[in-house]
Amino acid sequence: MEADINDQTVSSDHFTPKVEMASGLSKEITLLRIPDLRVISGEGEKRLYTRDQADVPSVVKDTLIQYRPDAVVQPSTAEATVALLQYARGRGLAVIPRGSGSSPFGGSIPVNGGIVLDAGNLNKVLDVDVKNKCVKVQGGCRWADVDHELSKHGLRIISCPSSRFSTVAGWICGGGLGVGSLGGGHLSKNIISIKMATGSGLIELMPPQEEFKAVFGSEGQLGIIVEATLKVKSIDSASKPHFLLFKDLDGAVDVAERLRRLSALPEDLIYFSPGKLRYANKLLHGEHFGEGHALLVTSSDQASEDAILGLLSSTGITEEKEYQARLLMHDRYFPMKLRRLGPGMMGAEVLAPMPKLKDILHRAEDLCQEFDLDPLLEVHVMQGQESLLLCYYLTDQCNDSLYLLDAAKSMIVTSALIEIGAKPYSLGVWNNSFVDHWPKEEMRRLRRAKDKLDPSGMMNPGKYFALKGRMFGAAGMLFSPRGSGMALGLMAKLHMPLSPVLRTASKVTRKLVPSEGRDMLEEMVNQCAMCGACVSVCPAYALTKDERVTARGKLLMGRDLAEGRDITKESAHRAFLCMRCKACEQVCQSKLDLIPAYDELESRLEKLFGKDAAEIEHFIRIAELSPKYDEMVARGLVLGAPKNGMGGDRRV
Amino acid sequence: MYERYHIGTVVTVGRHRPVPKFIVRREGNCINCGKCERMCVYQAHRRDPVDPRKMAEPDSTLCKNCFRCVVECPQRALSIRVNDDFKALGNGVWTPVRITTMWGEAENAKIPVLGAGYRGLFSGPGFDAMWTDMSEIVRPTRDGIHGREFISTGVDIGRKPSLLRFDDDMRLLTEMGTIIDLPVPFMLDLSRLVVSENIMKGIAGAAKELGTLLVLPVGSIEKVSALMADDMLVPVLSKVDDLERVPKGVRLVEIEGGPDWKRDVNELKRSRPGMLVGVRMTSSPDLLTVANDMAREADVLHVLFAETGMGADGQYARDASRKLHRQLVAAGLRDQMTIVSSGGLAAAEMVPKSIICGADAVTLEGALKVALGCHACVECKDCPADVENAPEEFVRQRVINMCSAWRDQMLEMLGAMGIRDLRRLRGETGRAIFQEDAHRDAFSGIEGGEKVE
Repeated sequence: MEADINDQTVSSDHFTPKVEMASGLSKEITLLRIPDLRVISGEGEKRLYTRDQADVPSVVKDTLIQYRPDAVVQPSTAEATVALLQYARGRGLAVIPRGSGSSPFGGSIPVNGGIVLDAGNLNKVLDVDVKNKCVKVQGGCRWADVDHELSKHGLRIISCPSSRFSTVAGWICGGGLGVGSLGGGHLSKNIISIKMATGSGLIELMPPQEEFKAVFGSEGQLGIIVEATLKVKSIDSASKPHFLLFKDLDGAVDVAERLRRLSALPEDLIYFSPGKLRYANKLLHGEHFGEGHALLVTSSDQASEDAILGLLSSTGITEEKEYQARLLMHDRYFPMKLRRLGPGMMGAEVLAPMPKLKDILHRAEDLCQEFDLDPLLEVHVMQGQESLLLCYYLTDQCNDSLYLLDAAKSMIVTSALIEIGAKPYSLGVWNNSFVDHWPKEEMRRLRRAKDKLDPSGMMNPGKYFALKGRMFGAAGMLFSPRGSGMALGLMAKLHMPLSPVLRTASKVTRKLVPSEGRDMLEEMVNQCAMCGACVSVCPAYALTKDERVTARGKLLMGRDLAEGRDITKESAHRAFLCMRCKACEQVCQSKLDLIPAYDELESRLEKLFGKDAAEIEHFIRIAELSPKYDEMVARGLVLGAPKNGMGGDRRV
Repeated sequence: MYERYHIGTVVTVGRHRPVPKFIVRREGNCINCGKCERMCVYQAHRRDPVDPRKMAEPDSTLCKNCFRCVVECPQRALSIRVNDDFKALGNGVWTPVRITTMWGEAENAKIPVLGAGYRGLFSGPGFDAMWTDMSEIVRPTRDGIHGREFISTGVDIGRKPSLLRFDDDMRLLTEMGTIIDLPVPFMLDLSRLVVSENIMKGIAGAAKELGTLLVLPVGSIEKVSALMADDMLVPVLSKVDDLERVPKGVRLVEIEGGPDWKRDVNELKRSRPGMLVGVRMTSSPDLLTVANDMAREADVLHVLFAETGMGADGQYARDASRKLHRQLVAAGLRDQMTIVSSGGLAAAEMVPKSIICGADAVTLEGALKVALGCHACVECKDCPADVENAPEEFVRQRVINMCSAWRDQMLEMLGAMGIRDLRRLRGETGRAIFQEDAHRDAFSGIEGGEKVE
């Protein structure tokens, strides 16, 4: 007898929408009946796992790599993760780990099919140790959730990526430098231990093990991080941001240099180019920030606050108003806001050594000018000699050819900066060309760890060490030091004659594709930063675990609809499972008007597929009674919602 | 066979949206979490029936101001405030609360329950400056007033002899006049209302159902004669000659009291022996000077107050009736004449209060219009409730409902007072506390305790 392969454990925190029949590998995994493992069988839902934050032009993607996963799974326990990995090892299948999908480098998308493992539901904060100031979390926890849990105990995280809705494991694997890294140092300094699921079981890693070091920046080559113990610190009311404005770049960098050498280190120090302030003004619809090169320095405690103030008074620099500083400080977490203006943005991210920072910044400015780009440069100063340079510019994602040109420019800028001493920040797929510039020692360490932990090479294969995709490794050729790396290097050298060509081409395409009268949904999906913040706050997602119910999923469905792709009725009906709680609108860094977009999408879908009123009603009633939903409402679905009771705690 | 008095009520929803006392507002930061729907016991908060993912606009008319939703809302998106339109309802003793209460009574015929605390004054003008004593309420029965022993709300209209005389063979010598007994102490009164024919008919239908008298101008008899027996009509004559237009079966007529009231009364009595004759007089100090005389001649004295509850001299019915009653009692004439009081009766409790102050019965006027949805505006124009076009059946049922609710409230009061017969309440001022007495009792012995106006 054929068992119902879609039965779910009945829990009051779960809503099972219409069944989608699994087939192929999905069906095979479903039949394993691994507890606490959700197998995604709907094609529409699987499609969401074919991309990450970046919108890689489909021409590039389609020809080069097999980015469609054969199956997608969501474990919610470490045991389920291990079970899945064991199965994959036995079957010789690739496993591609994925957090919240908020990195733009392609680290979490398959290049040759395989199983995508969505770790985003390993999202429990397990234990807060107030005495020893540390917290044990599951790997899929979002940084914002960890911070929220800590705040109840008067604690906070030391550093986090610029997207607070990225997962802990994702940032461990993908970089470890971000907001707070000046005072706190690289993430590896703030992690006490890691529990990792591998094909042969759970292992615990901690310093000084070599494998522990290798995990950072490993891009999921070693295993799935299911747990991590983080160091945290107390909330300090003396911590304050300061906003300094300079006439020229060199002046700003000089002061930054002095600030990062203070004996009491500031928590965080960022340089913003004039472009950043211009865009910030535009987004805020007002002249809040003046013209110039800016530094935003945030003290971590009274000692560093005093040190900063001392430096300012001794150098005679006057700081700008506090509200401006606080606005910018908040803005650190929302770098993708800019996409709204494009719609879409492109950029290069490199690690720049401090001594060469001035040169690199000047170079980036010059290059962008040649390419007729209005860039926004951001430098996050780190402990030691490194700093993280982000160079962003607007593009128009609705205009395919322009977008492709802008993407090429991004690669050229990255390679040109690497030429003069910068290093790639993350490899993923698209930065593989720069793998030669990756520190050799790190590379060897990772290789040794991989041989030990993942001898069969099933974890995130085809990247990092050798990029292999379709067409006999054409991608490997292209995105390799020998292929595009050389070509790009060459182009970077030849940018002088090249830039007028690129400039004219951009102008022509801009004229060919008018920006008026575009479809509202298409426009919006391109403005969307795909950061996944909406996923982490969505109560409908918490109940269904299906990303199609979230803003990101719905916008992508809107695009599929506009592009005339096949959508199944089941997929279409998922879009209606919404609480209309507006949490997504509140966290959206692009500040999109999502609710009207949902109404529009729903009316389009309803015309094609009808709507299942009974399912919607049932969903709402289940959600209302679910403890998980109550908890989310209590926490405040909407950031900054007033607390209930006069200054007291929120009551539920 | 004994037939218990029963009023047939049917829930009759108003023709216009009632004016809610409180406006519940949902702000834009609502997250449609549905908590308010689960919290509200009055169902003022509901999910949108078309799209259950969104909350519908709150139905303020169901709100009882309990504030539960406001307290429980995790977003603090809800607020409740008193409705300005509500505050603007009515005038004088026709307060907003009374008007909406009457609407409710006319809709569902139930005894109104007002809650969420009382923050107002404990006394006011007219009947508000007296409180009925309901000391027996300490042990209410489980099944309410209807489970107790029979309580009569009936009253008698007509002359009641103070003693009976018999001859030696024990045959009754005293000539018994006509007595009209009514199951309720109120008549329905069209004599001072300007209303459409439909409304007249509806009110007549209600009077029939209630088994009470309908007071109406003699010119309006034809409009309702098909609906009611003649003996339940009380035509109001402006002159003696109008008697020609009065059908034979009528048991009581009223005539406007002018300087020649005595002659008119005698003429009417001569023309129709056995018929009761009432005199209509506006309440004023002059009335007291003729009252004793009138008690000897007329059967009924219909004392008219304005809808403000005051007589021509600005005195409230509470005081004017007590004076009149006491004067007649002192003269030994009280039972010679039935006193009917009218005007300013804006709440159920004002009926027993009128009776405590000395009236035998009352007539309902303005309250009948309010039962139809009237806002009791100062000036009657651009009717917000379109009262004029109310259909006959609607009028009938709404009036019946309100009267039923008023009678039930009377039963509650009588039960709580331990009185089994409404007739015993007449002039029973011991069953009430009057504000000035309470003040005197509380403050008179205190140095400097004089009441400061």
